[in-house]
Amino acid sequence: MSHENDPHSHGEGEEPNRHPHEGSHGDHYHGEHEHHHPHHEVWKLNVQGVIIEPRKPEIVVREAIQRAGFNPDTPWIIVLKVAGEPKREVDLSFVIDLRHKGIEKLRLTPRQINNGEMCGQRRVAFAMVPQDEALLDRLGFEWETLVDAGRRWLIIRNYPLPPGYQVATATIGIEVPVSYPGAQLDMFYCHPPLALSSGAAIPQTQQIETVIGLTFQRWSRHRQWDPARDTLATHLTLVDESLHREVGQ
Amino acid sequence: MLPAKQADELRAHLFPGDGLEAAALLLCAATGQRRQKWLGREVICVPHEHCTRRPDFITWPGEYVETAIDRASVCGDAVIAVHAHPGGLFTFSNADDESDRVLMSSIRHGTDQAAGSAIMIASGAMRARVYEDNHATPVDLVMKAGVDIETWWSDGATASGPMKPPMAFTGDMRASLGRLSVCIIGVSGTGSIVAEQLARLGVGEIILIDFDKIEERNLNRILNATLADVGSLKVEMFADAIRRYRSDGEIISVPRSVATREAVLAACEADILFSCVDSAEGRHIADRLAAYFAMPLFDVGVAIPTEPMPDGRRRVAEVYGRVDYVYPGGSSLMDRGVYDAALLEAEYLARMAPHALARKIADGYLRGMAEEAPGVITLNMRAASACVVELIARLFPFGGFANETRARTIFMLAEGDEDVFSESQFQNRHCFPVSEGAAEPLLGVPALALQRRVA
Repeated sequence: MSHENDPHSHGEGEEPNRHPHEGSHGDHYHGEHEHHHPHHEVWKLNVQGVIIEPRKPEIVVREAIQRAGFNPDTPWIIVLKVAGEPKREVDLSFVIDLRHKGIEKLRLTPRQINNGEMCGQRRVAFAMVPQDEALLDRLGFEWETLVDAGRRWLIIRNYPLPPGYQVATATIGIEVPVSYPGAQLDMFYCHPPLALSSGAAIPQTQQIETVIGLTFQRWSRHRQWDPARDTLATHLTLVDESLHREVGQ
Repeated sequence: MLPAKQADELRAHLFPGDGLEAAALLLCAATGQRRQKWLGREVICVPHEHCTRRPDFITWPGEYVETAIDRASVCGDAVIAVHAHPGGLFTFSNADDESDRVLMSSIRHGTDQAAGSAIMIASGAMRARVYEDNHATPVDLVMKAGVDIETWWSDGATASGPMKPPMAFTGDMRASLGRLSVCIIGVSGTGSIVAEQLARLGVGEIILIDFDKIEERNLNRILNATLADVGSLKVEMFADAIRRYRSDGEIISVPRSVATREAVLAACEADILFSCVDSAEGRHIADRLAAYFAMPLFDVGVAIPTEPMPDGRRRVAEVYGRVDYVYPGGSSLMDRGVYDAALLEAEYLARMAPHALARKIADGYLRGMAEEAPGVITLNMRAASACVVELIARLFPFGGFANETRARTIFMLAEGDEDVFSESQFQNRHCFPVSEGAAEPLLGVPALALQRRVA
């Protein structure tokens, strides 16, 4: 399935593969390429949908990830896909030889463990109530807790949104005061700021806060917090209800 | 340590009114390193009809022991077998010794915990003993923490009954207080005055918790503080001061915020808790300590709200002192509205994100803090005195009033009035579980949990 030898896929575009001057057939000087770039070998590698063009046929994974604009120090599962070969997990120091036949792409998956075991890679800057953490894992959320300028945030990524928003998922931020669960969880925050497909305005979401360098839209949704009853689970219900209400569900 | 609910349940079951013996099992959370405490959590009644009951003898089926062992093993609880002595014998009989020999060993092996046995007489007084091996060790103190605080000391009890509580305000009262450990959270405006009273009253062990240092501006209201103490920790200064007039007793200073694991673990070993703080967070921790570790809690607060006058100046609107008494299982400070979930959030924001707080207040999502004149020692002393009088009234009843009526006392110096509120005037939402002990996360607050291993 690879197109590694397509001589015309040389610019930007769909072509997901390496685009060495030559490669798959082992003959280094394929005629057509020579016409275009007589002394300027260009190799290509698709890193998670971003095409990079190394000057050399060999590139270290760390550099490839960096050049594609991803943070190599984020805990990724890094998979090198080669046509006709089983997928192969590689580490940051692995050297990819772009001359190798069938190289398709470098795929990045955030390391995430949903079985409730303590995840070695997840950032948990502060603990939630054990039942909360179990709930987050059970729901399969990609979550972490972090402290930004002294403020404590639960961050849930790829939170699914009901149809009717201009995006399908959002990052949800919930501020967790230090006295939680005695202290209330109040409101929630969405990144990117959400807009309805219909173009209608969403009430009480004008306020924007910057957290961990991202712009979050504050959803002022409230309830009377009862520490005997309320937990993250009931707060997520509020989040869900609020998100559904705006799209009339 | 028996919360009122468990104590009352035991007594109702053990003394059904027929004069015959009865039996029950009490599940307890065992806590404490330095001072071991067993917190009564759950009563398992052995139904009367399943027993052979006589006025001075009872046999009851072992299947209830099995039930107790099963339930205890869920949380690592200890089990105490309790039975009634309707005749009033306030000591263990030969028959009790005989049956304990077998029963205690079974329970110990079933729960992998020390086991205990206890007797109760009709007044509700209890005596208990613990078996860590085949040897019985008497439990120093059985305490019922309810509207009144009842204490039954093993030492000095006789077969005919427990020691009577001494008369309030006497040397005997001092001797009795000398056996207790009291923790004071906050050693400042009201806390230093509470601590001074407790130390002079002879309380045997005083645990002082405060992270703060003495500043020159505090000298107008912290007892014992001198110019030379500026810059020292309040708890250290105060502990030294007490040691200058008392050679007996133990003073433990904990220079930490009460919202830390160390402070909570130090506080939970005491018998009785005083909260003399000026933050919702401090009260919240004290509130949870009272429930989780079954401790009677005395909370004191003062306020001098001011109001604007037409000419733009301000005047004193009222001069308030408030004393709340909370017992485990009763209405909490949170139930009583002393603080709430929104105030805890506001305090957190005030520390970490004042701008976010200001915006939330402006947007109407949080209340602003009331403008108050600073407390002064004159008011603090009156409130702190009222608070310690409340302790004396609960331990050594002396008044013409019933303690039930005084869950809260508020005095108003401007109006010249005093209001009392009974326990039943507060809605008890059972915000916090009782007698959970040191289960993780500590006090149910993840911020106090053991630091987890995060790779």
